[in-house]
Amino acid sequence: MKKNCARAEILAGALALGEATDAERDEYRRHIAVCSSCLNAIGGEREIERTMELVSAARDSEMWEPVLTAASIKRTHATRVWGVGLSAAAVALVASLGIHLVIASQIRPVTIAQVREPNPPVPTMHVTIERRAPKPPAPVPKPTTFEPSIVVVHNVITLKRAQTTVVAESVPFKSVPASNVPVWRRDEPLNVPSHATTVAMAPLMQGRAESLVVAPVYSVRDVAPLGGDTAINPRPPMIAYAMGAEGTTAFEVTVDDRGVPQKCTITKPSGYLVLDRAVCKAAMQARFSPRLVNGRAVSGVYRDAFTFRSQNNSDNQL
Amino acid sequence: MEEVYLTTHAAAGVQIRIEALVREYQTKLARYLRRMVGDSEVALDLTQDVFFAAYRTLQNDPDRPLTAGWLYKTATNSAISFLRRKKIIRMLPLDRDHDVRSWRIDEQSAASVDLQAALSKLPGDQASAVLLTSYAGYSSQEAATILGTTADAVRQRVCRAMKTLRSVMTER
Repeated sequence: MKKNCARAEILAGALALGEATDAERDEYRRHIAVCSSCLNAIGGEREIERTMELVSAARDSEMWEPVLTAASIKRTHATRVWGVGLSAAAVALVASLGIHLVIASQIRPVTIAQVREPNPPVPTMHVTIERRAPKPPAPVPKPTTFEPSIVVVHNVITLKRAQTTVVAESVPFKSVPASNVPVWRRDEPLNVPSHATTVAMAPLMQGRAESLVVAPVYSVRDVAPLGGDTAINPRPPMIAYAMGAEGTTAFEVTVDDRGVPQKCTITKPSGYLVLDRAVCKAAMQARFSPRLVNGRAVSGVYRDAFTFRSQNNSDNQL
Repeated sequence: MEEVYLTTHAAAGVQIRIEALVREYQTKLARYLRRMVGDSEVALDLTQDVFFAAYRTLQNDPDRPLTAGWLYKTATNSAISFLRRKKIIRMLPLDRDHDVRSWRIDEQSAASVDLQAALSKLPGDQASAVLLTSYAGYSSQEAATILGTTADAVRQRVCRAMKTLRSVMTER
């Protein structure tokens, strides 16, 4: 079958180039009638023609007129500059080597005994004791001016949760399939089994009481950064200090089965692009322990949030 | 005296032949190489290299017939060598996808961009097979002679390149 598919590729190539005979066309038709993989991968005669029309259209739209003279002048000039530079460097290297060799041949080895000189005579010391006036008190340092800075408070976001009211009557729970991302809360240990779960949830849209506390969206994650949560350490650029930027940035990182982040998405922007970029940059530089399903590493999602506060605000609030 | 005259005459002949080759094939070769490497400046440099190689060859053997196939063969080898070097030296900003944006607006047709996107994903031998046959207009037998392989191998490479083209067209 593999041999037939290789033959079908040759026939399809002949069809694409317009070199196929009628017998070859028939042979290709017979093959794709029984080989669905070739039909899907290469397509029928019409698909082949349509694909090759793309090449023809691209060729017809080509309007580039190259100018070789300019290129050759630039190249010659560049070559000359490089040639002169390399020659000068080579001459300097050879001269330096020669000078070092000459100097090295004329220096005799020096022993320590030759260098050692007799100890100089110890000078006579005169000590005078005088009484001095007491020192004036040290000037009180002036209060320093306040310099604005930004304090990165790790994961201090507090999102409002839905108000839960306890009702007397029991609410019929509905079993809905959750996503295959396991729910993990920040106050729970990290070693939560990461497999698809089905959780009982009260219908949220009806305003009824919830007996199960669902973790906020930003903390639902199925991978953990190597080195703990503090491994992601965003450093906003200096422009953020000048802008007095502050706000909360929530983000999520898609992590592949090797633990390498693939994509960072800002799910809740702080309102300052510099802060959002700093968070994503830090998240993409971190490495994660991949999610395990039945002992096999698979890709997963890490969600988190950072709150940036400027110094004066954090002094007031913290 | 006679020897000097012969040398001058031969040099003049080489010069005339090279000029004729440049006039005839510089556009075709440069376009072919630009499609191969995806960069106009690099394509111009490689075209220059091809004509310089032709000049050196004719200097050594003025009677040697230089065909278009020889030029395309040298160009293909230069392009494949460049792409191999580019794989090693990643720090140079010569991404083939990015360069498409710097092409002229009238060349940025959907077909042209699609073709370049597909070519950037193809191995050098498949790209050269497609370009030599569908772009430069050679038959599979002539392309096989240029690439040093068989006509069936060229057809197979065209078919495999076509699969990539098809997937790129489907994505867009």
